Amino acid sequence: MAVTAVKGRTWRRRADAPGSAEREAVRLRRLMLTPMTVLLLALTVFPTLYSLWLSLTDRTAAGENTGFVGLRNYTDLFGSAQLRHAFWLTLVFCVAAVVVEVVLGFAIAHLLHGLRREHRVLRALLILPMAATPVAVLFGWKVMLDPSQGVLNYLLGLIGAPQPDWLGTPTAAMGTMIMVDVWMWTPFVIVILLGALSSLPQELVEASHVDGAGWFGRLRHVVLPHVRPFLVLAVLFRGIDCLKAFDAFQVLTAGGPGDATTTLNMLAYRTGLQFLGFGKGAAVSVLLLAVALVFGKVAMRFIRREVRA
Amino acid sequence: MPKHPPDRRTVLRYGLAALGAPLLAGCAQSTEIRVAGVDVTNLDAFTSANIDWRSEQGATLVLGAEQHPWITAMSPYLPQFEKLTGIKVSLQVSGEDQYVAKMPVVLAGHNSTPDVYMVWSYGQAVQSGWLEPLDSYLANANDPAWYDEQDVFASAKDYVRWRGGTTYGLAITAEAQVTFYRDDVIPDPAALGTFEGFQEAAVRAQESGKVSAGVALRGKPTGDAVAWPAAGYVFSHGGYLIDPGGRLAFDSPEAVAGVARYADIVKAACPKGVSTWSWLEITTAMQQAQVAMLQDSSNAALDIGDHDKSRVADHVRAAPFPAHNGVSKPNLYHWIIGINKRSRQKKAAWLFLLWATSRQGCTQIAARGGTPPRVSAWQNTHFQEIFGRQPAEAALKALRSADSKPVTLAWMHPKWPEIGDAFARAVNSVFTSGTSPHSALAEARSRLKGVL
Amino acid sequence: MSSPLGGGRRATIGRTVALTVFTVWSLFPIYWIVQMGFKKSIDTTAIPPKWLFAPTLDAYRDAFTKAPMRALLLNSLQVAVLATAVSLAVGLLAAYGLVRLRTGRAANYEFWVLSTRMAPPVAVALPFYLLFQKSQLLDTVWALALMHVVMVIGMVTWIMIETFHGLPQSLTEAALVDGCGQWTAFRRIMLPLAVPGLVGAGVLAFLLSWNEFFFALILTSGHTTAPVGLFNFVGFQSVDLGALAAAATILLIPAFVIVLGFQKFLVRGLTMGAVKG
Repeated sequence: MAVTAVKGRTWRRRADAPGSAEREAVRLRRLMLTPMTVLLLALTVFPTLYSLWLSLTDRTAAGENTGFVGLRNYTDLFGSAQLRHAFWLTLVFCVAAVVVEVVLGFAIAHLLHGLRREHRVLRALLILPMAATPVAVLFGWKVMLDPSQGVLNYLLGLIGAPQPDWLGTPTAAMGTMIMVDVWMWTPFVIVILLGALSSLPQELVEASHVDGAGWFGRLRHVVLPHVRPFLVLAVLFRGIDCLKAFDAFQVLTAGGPGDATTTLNMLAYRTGLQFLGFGKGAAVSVLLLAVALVFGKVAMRFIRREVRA
Repeated sequence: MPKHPPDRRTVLRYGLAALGAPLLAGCAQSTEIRVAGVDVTNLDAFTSANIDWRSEQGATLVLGAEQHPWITAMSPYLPQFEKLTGIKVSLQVSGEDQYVAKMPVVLAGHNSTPDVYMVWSYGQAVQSGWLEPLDSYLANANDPAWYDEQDVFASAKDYVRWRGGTTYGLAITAEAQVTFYRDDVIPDPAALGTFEGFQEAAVRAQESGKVSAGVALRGKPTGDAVAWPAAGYVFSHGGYLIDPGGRLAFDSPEAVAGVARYADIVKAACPKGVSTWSWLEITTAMQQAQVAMLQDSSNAALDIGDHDKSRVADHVRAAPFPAHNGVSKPNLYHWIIGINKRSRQKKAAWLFLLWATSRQGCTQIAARGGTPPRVSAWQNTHFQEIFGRQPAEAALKALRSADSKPVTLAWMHPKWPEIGDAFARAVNSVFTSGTSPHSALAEARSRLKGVL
Repeated sequence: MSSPLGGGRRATIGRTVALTVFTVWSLFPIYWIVQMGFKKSIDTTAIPPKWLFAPTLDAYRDAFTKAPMRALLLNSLQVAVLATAVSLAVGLLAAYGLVRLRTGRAANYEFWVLSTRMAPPVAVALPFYLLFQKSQLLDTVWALALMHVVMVIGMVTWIMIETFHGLPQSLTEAALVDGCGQWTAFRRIMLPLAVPGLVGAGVLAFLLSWNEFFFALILTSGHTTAPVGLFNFVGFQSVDLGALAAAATILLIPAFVIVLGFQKFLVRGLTMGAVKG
């Protein structure tokens, strides 16, 4: 019987049979996954099935439902110009916002990484846009962005710059929505990438200096390979959240001007909760969920290629 | 290099902290609003009525509402109601967008509370089976002489009468579309009587340099923002949003003319950015002397006449809504409260409705700046002090003479949320994308195919 | 610690300028909101905006009288702490379990966990409402905390998975070879090393719960949280910007304190890759 001392305590190996360690590992693993499995089964299965079922009905709050209509909601949606427009808008918004956030976040993470520890207050301050309550901050943005009453255009006017109607034309409105999302969520990306950069082994960096590698070479061959999983993580989370973006659109534009910022989630909300077309609204939501699932699957493939330590 | 892994004491501390959390969760704190009450000793005005106020004593009512001037004016009297009836009222107030997002979930979930609630879309609520019919209560549990229905605006009574004549709610506020102007900037108020005159006055005020823009109008593309003022233009030009036959009518030539006029004025005399403007922005524009005029609900008088908020409070006057070919049909609105069909306290809820909408109830609410749908309330001196005498008279005139038919046909329609939304987006796109009114409204009509 | 990209003096100046611009851009809107809370009502929306003004606490007084701030904050705190604790506990265990699972099943399970974050809130509002209504749990801290757990569990678990992947297997393997049990190896070796990552995930979870709005609105009525309470100031024809700004500033303080206090974990702790080698 083997007896070992670890940290002042002694263990006896229960049996010397081969494979017992693996069996114990499997048992432990199963045990550890149980709380999560219970949680997910209890709380996510019902709502998902309910939404799916709802999307196959004609249900409204008025109870004038004809019941099960099969895929009619979906065929109606695919034939609807409004939905195709919303789909396009959602795509544009997500791609633009995520790309800018990740690139900008990466750049700023580098800048912050080079600072000394005394600058922790600065780092905390830069996380504020994400830490502040979105609904309140968005109201602040609404007030700031007003072309004739807001402070932003006032400041631009002082320096003689053009004072655009930030939310007043279709293109400008979408651009502004992207800007506000970038403002609010780049700190999230910064946080993730700062962690990644801190774990970059110094020897590699120094070695590349010695080898005479330039700035760009170092970026490509040393930094990027190391932070790649975290970049993908950032893209994944931001992408999924941008697909669901709602608060900013509701507060700043209400989906306008016209329909120029009515994304899929806005459409789902309007159809379901405002017009009380529960069935149709559920169909839009299911569509959105499908997009997110596809995106998640694709993104995950980029993560799995990493070799684990 | 990392520090040493945390020692036992640290892990213990973290562990205790994590465990302590559930203990904290034992008591959720009540976040209901308790307002300081007013004098509750004199209940004669109510007890003199032939109503058994105490028939439901001991009950608890939940009142669901949006944050609204009516709530601000009414809630100080809740202790009075509690003393009168022995019924406890629990007030749950939300912001506007939040209220209309949450209530459909609550009501579709067949919840029994709130027992009484402010109805944001009457037709939709009735058709969804969310409101209790009130006819039997009105007939049996009432003192008609004391209640004085004659005092209530005709439009308010029409508003709540559903097809077939049943009443599902009672009106609690009244507002009409009027033009507010600054008498130090607009030299000739009489010219505001026609749409051409109104537009010209706005442009001239702008050109004079005294203000940066002529008029503040709402432009936000939702059914509760631009749709309301633009509808007044449609009605005055002889059009309907939904015609008496129940058909969509906002692409008729008259309606198109009305929308065209609204868009013209927005483009010619409104500040930049009006396409996202709702109540906050238009009142700010007037309060901060950015514009010469504000044309919207009479309730604006409360904000722009308030010396604590408005730089121009002393110069604000009200003029009647303009006319087109002698016809003026300003838009109206009445907020409604109703009883949840699944409430378990319907009788108690009815007592609340009775109390809040009675002549005496409305008088005291008016004294605190509420705008009840009764002539007596609007003639009340306290009310006129708060509201402003001249605006009150102008609004009262509009409310008494208004034609409520066009607005009732539209706003009380079960599908109004969808129709109003399509209409609003169409109007908005005329002055943001340069679409012609006709094509914008035609497109809205095609989007609403199959809705009616 | 110098930046991995190196560079000379000109680069340093460029870096300082870039960082300054970014800081101003990030903080100006926050500053603007905070200062709105200290202005008199008539100055809050002044055109042109007022930069210098005599500060007043009127808006704060309004915020405290118009809304039950203390109760709102306490509810928010309870929900956030509970949600964070539960999601960390469940996520931590699940992440470790998954990391030791080397088959393709791990990827599927991880995807399932991630998918909890994908559903648009609007879609699940009604079913969750019904779920909690039937269980008599509406308007309680527990229900909302549970909802928040579902909301953040995906993110927390994935961060923990990355954290564990960054820790070398060799340490546990050595312990196992020496006769240490699996659970003990986890508890005494891996867990302590993962604490920084745990705290990082915890701070993010706390912030997300603290600021969460939609489910708090739907699932609570008389016992609601601060973000919902904020909207008491945004009514129909009655927007009180000053009180809104004051309440938002009050809400910001705990969030800022937590970020400041834990930011070293937030920043460094999301991976323990420094342990490598």
